[in-house]
Amino acid sequence: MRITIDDAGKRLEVDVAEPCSVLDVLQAQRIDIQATCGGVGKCGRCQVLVRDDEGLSYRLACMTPVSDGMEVVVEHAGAMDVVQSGTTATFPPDGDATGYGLAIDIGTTTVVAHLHDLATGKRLATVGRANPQIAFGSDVISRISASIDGKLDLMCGIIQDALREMKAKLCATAGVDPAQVVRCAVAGNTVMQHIAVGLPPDTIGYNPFIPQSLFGDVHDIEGLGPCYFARCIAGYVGGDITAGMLACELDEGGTRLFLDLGTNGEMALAANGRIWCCATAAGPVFEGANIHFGMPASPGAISKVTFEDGEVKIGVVGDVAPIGICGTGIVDAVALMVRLGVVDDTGYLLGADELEEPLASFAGRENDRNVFYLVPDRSIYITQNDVRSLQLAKAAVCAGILTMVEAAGIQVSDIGKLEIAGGFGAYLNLESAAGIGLFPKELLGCASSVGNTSGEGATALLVSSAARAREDAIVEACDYLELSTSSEFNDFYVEMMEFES
Amino acid sequence: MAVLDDLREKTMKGKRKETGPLVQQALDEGIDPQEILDAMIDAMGVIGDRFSKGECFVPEMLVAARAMSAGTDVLKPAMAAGGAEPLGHAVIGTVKADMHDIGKNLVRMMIEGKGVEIDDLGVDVPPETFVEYIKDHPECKVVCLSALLTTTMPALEETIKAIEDAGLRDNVKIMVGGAPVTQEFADEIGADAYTPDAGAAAERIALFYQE
Repeated sequence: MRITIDDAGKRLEVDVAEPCSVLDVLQAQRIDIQATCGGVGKCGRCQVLVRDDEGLSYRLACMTPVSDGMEVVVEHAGAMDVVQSGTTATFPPDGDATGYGLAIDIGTTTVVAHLHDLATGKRLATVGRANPQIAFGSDVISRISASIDGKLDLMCGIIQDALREMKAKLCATAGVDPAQVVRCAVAGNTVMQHIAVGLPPDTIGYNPFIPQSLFGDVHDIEGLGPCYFARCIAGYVGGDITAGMLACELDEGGTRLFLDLGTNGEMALAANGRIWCCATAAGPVFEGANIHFGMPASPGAISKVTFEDGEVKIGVVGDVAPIGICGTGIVDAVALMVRLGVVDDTGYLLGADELEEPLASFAGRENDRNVFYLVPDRSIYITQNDVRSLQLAKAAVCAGILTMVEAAGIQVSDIGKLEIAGGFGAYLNLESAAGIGLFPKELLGCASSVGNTSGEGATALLVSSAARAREDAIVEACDYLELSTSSEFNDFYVEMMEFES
Repeated sequence: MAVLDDLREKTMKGKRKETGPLVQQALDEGIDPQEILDAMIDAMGVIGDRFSKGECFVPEMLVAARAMSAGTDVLKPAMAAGGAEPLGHAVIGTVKADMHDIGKNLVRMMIEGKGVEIDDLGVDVPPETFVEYIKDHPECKVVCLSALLTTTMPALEETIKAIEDAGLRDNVKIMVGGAPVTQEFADEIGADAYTPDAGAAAERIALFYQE
């Protein structure tokens, strides 16, 4: 069978020997495609335009078997926006170093790499892109499932290819000879670090969630040289969190809370000389997944929602026409709906007949469910299920915080500083976050966004042996809390699902 | 009967402290225990239906289930004395290597709300434990299996296989559920039913006892 693929304007013809799905072909061709559910027909993310004997229509790539003469059009949402960090700690570069190095942050959704002069520590260039493994699912569990299904080598290959491409791009931008790039430092969550070096992450997928490696060691990757991988604390608290704690110097004293709100919700609480840390199954809602019109924070995504002069006002990434809504937009929208009383404290989304003007004109019904319209042509709206997804996610994060606070034997009011990391955190409206109860409201006054701390920590680990010593001290101070078996967490989780209006 | 309307409403609203006394009042008024139970089952049916539509959520469902449970605690002695039988027996658990509790508990509570006697084997339940349970409880006609992770979904199939290998497959109906589970997957592994949420699970299990 021969099929034609149009990948964002680039056409290729592919011969397919065995019957398989369109998604299988796209993955084998290493074409970026989202399959949030891992290709089981649940998430609706892998929609492609298909033309065959049955006509032209949008279909799910994972559920569409390949047929001879088929044409498949893949549309891309655009390149990833790289979040720069506003922080952070400066660790002195080692005096005797020469050449260049890469500091790499492998996120589940986004990969960022920085090129550094090792002698001065200076950053010369930065590049970011979507993690090409997104084709195997948007969360770490889907990636683990893909590994169990025998796709580890494929996922390892595509991430290493992506890193080599990024290196070439960085060197070209900065005018650096690639041969002068002598080493790398990598930080990612535990699953990403496993896949990047070809270690099976399978055992992290089920109880007792034990990883094969906690890293803190050097792996040689072809074309990149020796790569130092940041130390991990547990299956779901990885090198990205260690690097983040390092970048914020979380161990320098005081009672401080660190949240990394990426695809997973990892967090750490420093108090009384120790650091408690945990991971919550916040789910990929903050990346726009499991949301009716959800999308990554790329051009066309509604990222801000306010209500002024009786009208819903939106802000869109890239100032283009809106096509969907990203995580920060969802938090803004729901916080607004709670504040206006469109969503009650149980999370029920009121219907038009239960509201008064001017709000009633933004409410309506789609597919027999109440919705809240965000744009005048009513093409993008928040559904009742979107509110429910966000309730689960925010309850998990807030319950994680409260479980750590209890374990540390302190009060929420003892916390002097809340730092929120991650691409999502950088654009997050903190008042909206507090409004939906993502963290306790009383922490709003001491909350700040700190950007991509994982990348900053990787930079410190790349250029400074002092940073690597500090990394050891931080990991030694950590106590990991397993939330999946914690009854305190379960109680807080249910309690935190409601909204406080 | 005003007291039953009141009981229905208080169960739906999750007024745990009020349902027990209302059940007692209904008994004192000489109302048949089965009718009192049916009032609470009705209430849970409404909650389950609203949950399916997204109109209410986990916390409301939990408080309603707890309110009903407070009511049935008072009702049980009278039911037993009257020789009333439960709708049927079932067992539930989250499969091996999966620690998720809340969704499974919701399903259990909604099934209890249907008047089914259901034992909960907890989380991380190995296939052998289900097999042993079925052997020891011939009255158990339905097995409910939950898996919340794509990585633990294969354990659903293993559990069904273990029940088959033990020669017990024809003794029980098997229902599966959990966020990543689909009807197709349920068909593929030979489950008898799949439901997308707790309210639907309770509706479905009742059908098994009517067959």
